[in-house]
Amino acid sequence: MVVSFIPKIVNQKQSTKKQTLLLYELIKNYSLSFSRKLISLLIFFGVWHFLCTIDFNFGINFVFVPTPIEVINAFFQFINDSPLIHIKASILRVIGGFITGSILGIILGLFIGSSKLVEDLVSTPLELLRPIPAVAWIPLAILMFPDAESGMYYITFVGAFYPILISTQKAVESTLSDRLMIRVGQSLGANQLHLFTDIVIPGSLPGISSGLVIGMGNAWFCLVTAEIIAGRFGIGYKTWESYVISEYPPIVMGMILIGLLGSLSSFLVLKFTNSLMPWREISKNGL
Amino acid sequence: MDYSNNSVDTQIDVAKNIVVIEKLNKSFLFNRKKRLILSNINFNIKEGEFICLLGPSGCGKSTLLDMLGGFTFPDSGNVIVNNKLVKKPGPERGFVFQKNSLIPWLTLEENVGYGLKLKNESTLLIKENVDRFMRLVGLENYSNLYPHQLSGGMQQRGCIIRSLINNPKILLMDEPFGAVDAQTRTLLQEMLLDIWRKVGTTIIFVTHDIDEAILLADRIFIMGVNPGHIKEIVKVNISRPRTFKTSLDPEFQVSKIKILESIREETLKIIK
Repeated sequence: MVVSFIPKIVNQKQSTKKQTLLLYELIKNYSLSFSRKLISLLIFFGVWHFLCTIDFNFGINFVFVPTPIEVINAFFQFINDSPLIHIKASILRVIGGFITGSILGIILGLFIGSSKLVEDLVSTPLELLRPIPAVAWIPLAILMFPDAESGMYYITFVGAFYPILISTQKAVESTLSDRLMIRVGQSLGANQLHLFTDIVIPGSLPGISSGLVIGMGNAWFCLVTAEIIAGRFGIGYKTWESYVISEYPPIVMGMILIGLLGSLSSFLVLKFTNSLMPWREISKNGL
Repeated sequence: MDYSNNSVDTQIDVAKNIVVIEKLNKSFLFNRKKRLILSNINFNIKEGEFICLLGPSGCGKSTLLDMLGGFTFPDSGNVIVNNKLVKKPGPERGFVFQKNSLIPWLTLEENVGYGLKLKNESTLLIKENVDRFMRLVGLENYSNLYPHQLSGGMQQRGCIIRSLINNPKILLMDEPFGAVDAQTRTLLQEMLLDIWRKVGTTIIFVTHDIDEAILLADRIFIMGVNPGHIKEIVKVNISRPRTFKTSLDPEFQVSKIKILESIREETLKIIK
């Protein structure tokens, strides 16, 4: 038997010294990346503060824009004034819309992507509705749903649904167009159902994953729009209300809060979907 | 030479032949024009034989293999494997592809056991068989790795045993070692011969490498072009077991010159 040519990729007898060195490398790289990100944030806030203090008014007017410090003050005021009610209301609306959007988007996307019949039957009306912005749905959302709450769920749903649907559909189409994996399955005895569950769905997961990340972002995107019809609570509601009563720092505070919660939840979605795909090789070292 | 391409032996004893191809023609559409790819292919392969399909690119050897696999079908004529007309792909005809075809989201172990899992075999039986086949090709320490973590040679070994675990009647191999480096290729060839000796499956192996064909095959089917046909069948009389040293055998050189002349004619046809 010829086995001696197997490359030794699993080297278990690494010396402790080497391991410490490896750990050191790891920490160094991590902290380097972290400090770069910190610097980019500092520059962002610095530029913002600078433009406000010099009353920049050249094409874009910063005279009425609150400074970062005013925004932080508004934030503390918000914290002292029962913030959890607003945050909880908003998070529930986003998550509700996102989950319904994910379920419907993934299921429909899988079927549209794999069947010409379903595509012909379903996709034209969906495509017709897709370009309609969330804000245009407000009147109908009020008319169609029994209460404001479900109308708001509907608007965040619209935001999340389309990116998930389109990504899933395209991912399935590209998985199916690579005949090699389909042939592998067939030659090992897989039937249609096996091919779908074992080849098409896992092969489409990377595409579905990016759809979910974008969908989560979009649901937050639509939050302010949705909460225009809210009665009392919500971060988006708070932002809109501050605009109506011409109180500027809370507007920016609301915007930043939405940005923070939005990127946090997108990050969580990304981490979750990546954990479903341990088989992927991801490296970012340029071309 | 055993047969010429026109000899249609109607007195075949089908029981002894694992593969029978009769009067096969195949054409493809190119820019709405029908072009004949394979013309009047006839041959039989006996159980346990190692056959190489050898020919210049474009002679239709991969298409012929695809038809044995059940991925595409002839315009006319029959493809019979194990006394049954080939109608669709199936595990009784193992297929090893040119490119790495391990399923990326399954570990090596899961890839190899996939065929048995589809048959609803018990976890214990799958594990036993997977371990046995992994040891056969020296992959037992890599079972939990994903395909992208394996070298090209390891991936192809994985593909071979993934097909063999289904206990196929024939193993179809489409230039499986085309993408690995020359040193690894020699070792993989020896390993394949070793497995073939142990398992005894009939193998049909497509290649354009003359040395590879002589080293491996009992019989080499040399294919001609315009349209693709079996030009001649060369019997390789070198004793087994064969190793990398076989290429120094005088018989090897005789066969090589004969085949080179034959292939040269066909390659010239393409260039002109």
